[in-house]
Amino acid sequence: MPNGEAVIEVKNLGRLFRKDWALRDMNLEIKKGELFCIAGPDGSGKTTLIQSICAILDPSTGSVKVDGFDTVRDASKITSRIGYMSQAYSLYEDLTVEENLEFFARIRKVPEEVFVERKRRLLEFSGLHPFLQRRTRHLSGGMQKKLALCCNLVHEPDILVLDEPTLGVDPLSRRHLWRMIEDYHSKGRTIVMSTSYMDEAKRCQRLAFLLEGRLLACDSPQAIGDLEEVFLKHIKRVKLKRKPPFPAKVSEGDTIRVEGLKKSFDGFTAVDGISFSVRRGEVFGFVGPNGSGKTTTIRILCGIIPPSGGSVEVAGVDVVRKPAQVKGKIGYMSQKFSLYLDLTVEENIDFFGSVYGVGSKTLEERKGWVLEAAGLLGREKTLTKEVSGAVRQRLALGCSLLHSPDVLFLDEPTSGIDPASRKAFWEIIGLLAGTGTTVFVTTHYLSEVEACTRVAFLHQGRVLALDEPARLKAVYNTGSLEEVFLRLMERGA
Amino acid sequence: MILPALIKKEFKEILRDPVTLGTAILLPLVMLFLFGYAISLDVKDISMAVYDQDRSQDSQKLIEAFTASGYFIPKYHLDSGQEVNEALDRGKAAIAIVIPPDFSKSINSYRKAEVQIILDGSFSATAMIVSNYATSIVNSYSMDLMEEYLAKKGVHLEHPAGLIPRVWYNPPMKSVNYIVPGLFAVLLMAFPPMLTALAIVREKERGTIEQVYVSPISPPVFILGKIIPYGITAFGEMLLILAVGTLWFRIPFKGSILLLVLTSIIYVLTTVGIGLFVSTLTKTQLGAMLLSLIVTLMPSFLFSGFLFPIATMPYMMQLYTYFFPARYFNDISRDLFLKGVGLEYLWFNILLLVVYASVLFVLASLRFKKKVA
Repeated sequence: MPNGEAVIEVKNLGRLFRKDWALRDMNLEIKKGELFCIAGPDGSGKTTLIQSICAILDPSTGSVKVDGFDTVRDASKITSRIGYMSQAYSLYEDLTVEENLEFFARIRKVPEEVFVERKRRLLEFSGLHPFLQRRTRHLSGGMQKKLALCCNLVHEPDILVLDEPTLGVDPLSRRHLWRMIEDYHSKGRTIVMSTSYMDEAKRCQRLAFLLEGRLLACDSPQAIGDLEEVFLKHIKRVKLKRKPPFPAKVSEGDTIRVEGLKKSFDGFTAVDGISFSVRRGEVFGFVGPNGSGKTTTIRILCGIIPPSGGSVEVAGVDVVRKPAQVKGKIGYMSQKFSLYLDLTVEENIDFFGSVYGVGSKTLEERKGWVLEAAGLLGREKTLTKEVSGAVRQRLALGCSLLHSPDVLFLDEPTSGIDPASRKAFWEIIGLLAGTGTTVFVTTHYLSEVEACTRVAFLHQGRVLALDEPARLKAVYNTGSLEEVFLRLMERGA
Repeated sequence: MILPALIKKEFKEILRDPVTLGTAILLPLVMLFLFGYAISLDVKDISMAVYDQDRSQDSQKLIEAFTASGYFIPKYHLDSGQEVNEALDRGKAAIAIVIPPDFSKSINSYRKAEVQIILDGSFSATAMIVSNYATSIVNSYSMDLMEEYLAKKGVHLEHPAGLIPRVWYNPPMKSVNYIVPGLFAVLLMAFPPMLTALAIVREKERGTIEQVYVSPISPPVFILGKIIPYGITAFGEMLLILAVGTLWFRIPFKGSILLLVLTSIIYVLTTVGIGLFVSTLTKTQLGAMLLSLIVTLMPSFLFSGFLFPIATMPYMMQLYTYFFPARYFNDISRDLFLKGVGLEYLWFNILLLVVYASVLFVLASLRFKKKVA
């Protein structure tokens, strides 16, 4: 089939899950040799479309053809010739890097000599070579993504389908992944990928923009225009003006003081003697590649795990000595937003309120604000599992704020959330800081870091740089924090 | 070439995961020892309370007869009826013997002397056995008295009717000989299905199954790739408990070892097949674990004849037991160990196992679709 011909044809595709249409009336064609992007907010149907293309999900209406084969009738012909990287890491954790590669080559019947050659090239290109014998469970998230991609490149499929390959990955690993994707594309292969990063969508030749299961636009990025705009235009924004009804906090002095903090896990040093302090009311960004010690640091600061050395003071409490005392003064929201999905929105708020001992009168008042911030006013009785990821994330944020903490810790709170919802999230954070609450946040989105008062760049358990975003950009003489990050990492590594 | 790769991968995962390995090897051994020692249907060393109001040579002789039987230990010598009540209430004694003050006098004046035996009948099966032992001890005691009396009168009498019991299959009547062969059926049903189900559901949870879906691996190959390694692991487990069972507990083995090995391979395939089938019903490891315990461990305890003889169950329940393959292998294993019978008696149970396993594989293969939903 010559380049330019449609290799994937989606016709009137609809997919029903129980009572809800995840996709409907979808029509699009992907041409051979194209780098095609599927963009859209969380819950817009990206994964459903991708799984339909991969022939592992049958359509409820319409049809999908890949290489001329129907995904229902000839599923096995399709699955044996495409590569698919799902959102899950999809690697065998107890196998080593090399064993995973070998396994995926074997089940794709790659001949031994070819495999040896490809393995060498892939490992070198991805930078995984030094970790050949390491078990996959001990790799960082970024490395696991790279390995998962290698496991698909090792059998050189004509069509490669990637479901949010860069989700939750640090900028450096993201750059590596992109280098691998573009290299493979340059060999004339067709690549279909989904993403929630707008800058990535712009790098594709054509993109499909999905919203609530429908195709909103399908064209080249130039023709579609500013993607952030598209997002903001089409997604119902939550406008929140009201400040959180919290008692005003003193806004001077330091809320966090960390001195020579160390943490090692059986011989492996996760945090290697870091020191910094955070002032009251600051929004403090904590940035670094996967495995650089961000989450470990947050956990120590919250008194969840004890440090191996150094001193930590949070909200006036010596966390090393009295880890239990700090818990009433801080809020913590992790990547997995710990809400109870089988409880209603209101039940979750009530539960977390009572856990933190918030009086019922105060709780009523704050509940109203949390519902408003999450955009859930009037939907109090909805089961939490039925609201979208972005809304759930704002609800989780609200729940961690019910007791009006002095310090709020956010660990990659916006991972996998669309740009518009992320923007709404950061507006809430801005309002919070205005009341004197200190916010300590980790993220992989460097555009978000721009909104921080100060930012610390972490690498291999050490702080490489700590300053205001504007000053950092001035020092490195560049317009973007992403560039600062990459230069720091390349220097640090 | 795909199948060997699948099997190799699976073995690596088994060997590197301490939980899987422990469940495959350590847990069965722990259970073997627990059950081998704990479950005993033998009634012996029965704690006895004695309230001897007579305190004569004759009463002493009767008590000695109890001691000499080897079944009873007269632990408590009591002085009042109140104390007898207490000993039974507190469970210190399972049986109390009350000898009346005129016991010796009655015997020596050739009148009937009545001895009272009070039993703890809470667990009827044991109480029945204890009561039988006690009765036969007292009977033989009075028979001896009678012979003595007749001898004094110059009449020498043999027992008028004698019973010569010969116990087959388990001559020492040790229940461990019965329990351990049955345990093979239970243990192989307990762990291999759970491990197999977990191995597949783990791939679902982890997302690796989607890579399998988008690959040339066909459902039967994928399923074989699970059956073979887990079947081999379960077979290893079988050999281990077989060795420990026979060497440590000294269970006599009368039948053909080859036949046992062959039938246990079929049985292991059946139990692994149950795990496969369970894995097609659930998406979470927790669900797989609970479900496999419910369909395997519980019924194999209750309905395999391991502890509760099937022959005494109501007829409908007897039919119900055929749903659980532990029942077939329980019969096979006990027959081979204790009776030493051959294929001519076992073929029907073996056939049932083969049918059972085949149905499971077909069902599991049909239910395994390379689709996420």
